[in-house]
Amino acid sequence: MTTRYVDVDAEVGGNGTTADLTGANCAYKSLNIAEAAIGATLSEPHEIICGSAHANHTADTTAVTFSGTTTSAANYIDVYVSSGARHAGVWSASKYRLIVSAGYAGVVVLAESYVRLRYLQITNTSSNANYGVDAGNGGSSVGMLCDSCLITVPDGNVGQGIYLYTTGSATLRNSIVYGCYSHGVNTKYSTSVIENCTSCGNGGSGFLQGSSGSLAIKNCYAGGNTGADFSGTMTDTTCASEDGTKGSTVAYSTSAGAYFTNITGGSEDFHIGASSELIGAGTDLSGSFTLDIDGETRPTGAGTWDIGADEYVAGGGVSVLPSTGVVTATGKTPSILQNFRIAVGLAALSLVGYAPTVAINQIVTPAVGALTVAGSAPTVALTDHKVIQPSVGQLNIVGFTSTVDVTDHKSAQPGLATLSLSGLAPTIQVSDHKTIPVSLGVLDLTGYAPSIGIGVNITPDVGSLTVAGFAPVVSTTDHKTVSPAVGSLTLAGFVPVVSATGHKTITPGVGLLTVAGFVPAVSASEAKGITRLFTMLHGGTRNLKAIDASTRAYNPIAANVRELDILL
Amino acid sequence: MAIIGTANDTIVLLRDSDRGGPQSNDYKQGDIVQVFSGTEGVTLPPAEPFYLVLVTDLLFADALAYQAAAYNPDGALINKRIFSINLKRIPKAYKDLLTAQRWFTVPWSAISEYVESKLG
Repeated sequence: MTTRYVDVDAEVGGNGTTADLTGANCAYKSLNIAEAAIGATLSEPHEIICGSAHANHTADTTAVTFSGTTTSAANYIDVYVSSGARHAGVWSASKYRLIVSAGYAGVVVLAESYVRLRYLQITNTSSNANYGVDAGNGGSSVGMLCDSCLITVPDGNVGQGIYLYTTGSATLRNSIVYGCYSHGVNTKYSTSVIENCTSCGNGGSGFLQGSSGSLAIKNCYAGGNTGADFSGTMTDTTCASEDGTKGSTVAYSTSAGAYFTNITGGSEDFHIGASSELIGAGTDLSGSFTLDIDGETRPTGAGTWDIGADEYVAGGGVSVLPSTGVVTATGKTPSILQNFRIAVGLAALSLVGYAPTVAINQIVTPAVGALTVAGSAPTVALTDHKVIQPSVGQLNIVGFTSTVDVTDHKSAQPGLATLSLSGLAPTIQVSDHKTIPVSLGVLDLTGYAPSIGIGVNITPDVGSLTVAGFAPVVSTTDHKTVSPAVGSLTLAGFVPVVSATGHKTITPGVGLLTVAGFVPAVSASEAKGITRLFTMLHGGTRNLKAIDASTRAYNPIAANVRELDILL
Repeated sequence: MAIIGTANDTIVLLRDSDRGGPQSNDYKQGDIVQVFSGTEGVTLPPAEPFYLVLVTDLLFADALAYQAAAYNPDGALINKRIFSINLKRIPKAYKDLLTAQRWFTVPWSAISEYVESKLG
């Protein structure tokens, strides 16, 4: 497999061997250049990956013609968009896209066989536009695959989305063709298969088959077209249309029938709603493919597949199912807004972006390997979250102002191996938090101004509590106990502070309390018992006592604290 | 290393060799594959199978026409690129630069006479 990369935001002149944006090995600056660099004959598959995982991709504005290369079924060209630059089933002006003014021509022209196009956004903006994808007029649709593409050609001379006027065996799948000046999909001569496509709001037909060739069309929807939704001779299986030309009649609407999200020209979103008549009305094609246009898994079994490019998923977002290996969400504001369950067997859940959010109302269940939320302002909001269950291996929150808000969180259960927050001002707010209980291996806060505000207890057997940074704070208002068997409480930084107002005891069994930094302070007003308080000052040892600010009296310091070290 | 061009310049990406057979409508040596604004930045030297030419005093907006393809009236592709720079005719000094470093800088007034159209 030969792999080449395209990124419009790369420098000109790279060799396309990496996704880098600069340097001699940087990505090609357009799909056209990547195509021009393919050799005359392929001896292995040649994949072209468009867009790397950065924000705000610039549009690719040059048309591309695939020709001049000898391909075969085994040695094909596979053009697809990387997961970080891919649309989510609706046109995105920040993801990789081909926006080309191609007068009397197509944006992507196929003049050779065995070319696959996946996850592309394509529009031809010319007032004399011919096509989005053109495999006609001497082109080739032999072995062509168009999968999970968004195509619109709103104006033009011909103005059609996909044009297959050539002999060959094309497969169109999971794609949406909409808002075209003329037909959405136009086929003739070819032996084409169209599966789970949506063709809407076009000035001609949704799907048109010419007088020769054959077309097998399955699980497709067409509506809102000026011409017939389905026109010509074709073998249809579980399709639907607004005008009843094929399959069941389903209204092209946001409030009935198809229940699309938006059918307004220029703002189209063909995700279907919970009441859509397209849900469960398709044929199970899982023997051929299993995902929908935005990568969601289609279920298996009779009566489970939806018609059209989108498979409806309850909640409208990411479906986090049991035994999912890894779930990763990236982008500016990746979110998981599922109400119920991130289930057992999820190996890792990662959200990376500017302001990732996990809002989970019920359960993050056992055996989640690792939950990582990273970005500028990551948040895990677990309102009324009953449990972060045993066996969460690791919860990492990394960012500028990371926060774990576990209001009314009854417990971070035993078996949570590590809870780490790092960033400028990581915070754990555990109001009314009854316990960070037994067997929490390590609690680390590292950053500019980390803070722990804990209302009640840090219970036995916390192995290690580390708060490090410029101004770390442990605030334990009315904190009854930092109880026995806390192995180590360490604050390190420029101005570390332990404020234990009303703190009755730092009880026996605290192995070592270390406060180190430029101006360390221990404020233990009303501290009933801290005995044998030591500081290491220039190698010396000084006996200190806690001062009660109101009475200016020295309070007794209780027994059994082995050492309190203040290192200057 | 990057060419420091200006908004008044154009970066021209050329094929360094033919692709496809002699009757092919595919890229030939010197074909203008794509043009870019002089401020786009480049990585030098350019990778095979391309050469780069920084053309000064040619606006990118004007240069866009030189990356056009040719189609017949029914939409069939005639040539992937209409325009090319005839690399056999350019002065030897430029040929030597292409051999040595795969790119050169030239004012539009000095290179325009070597830009040819396949449509005659």
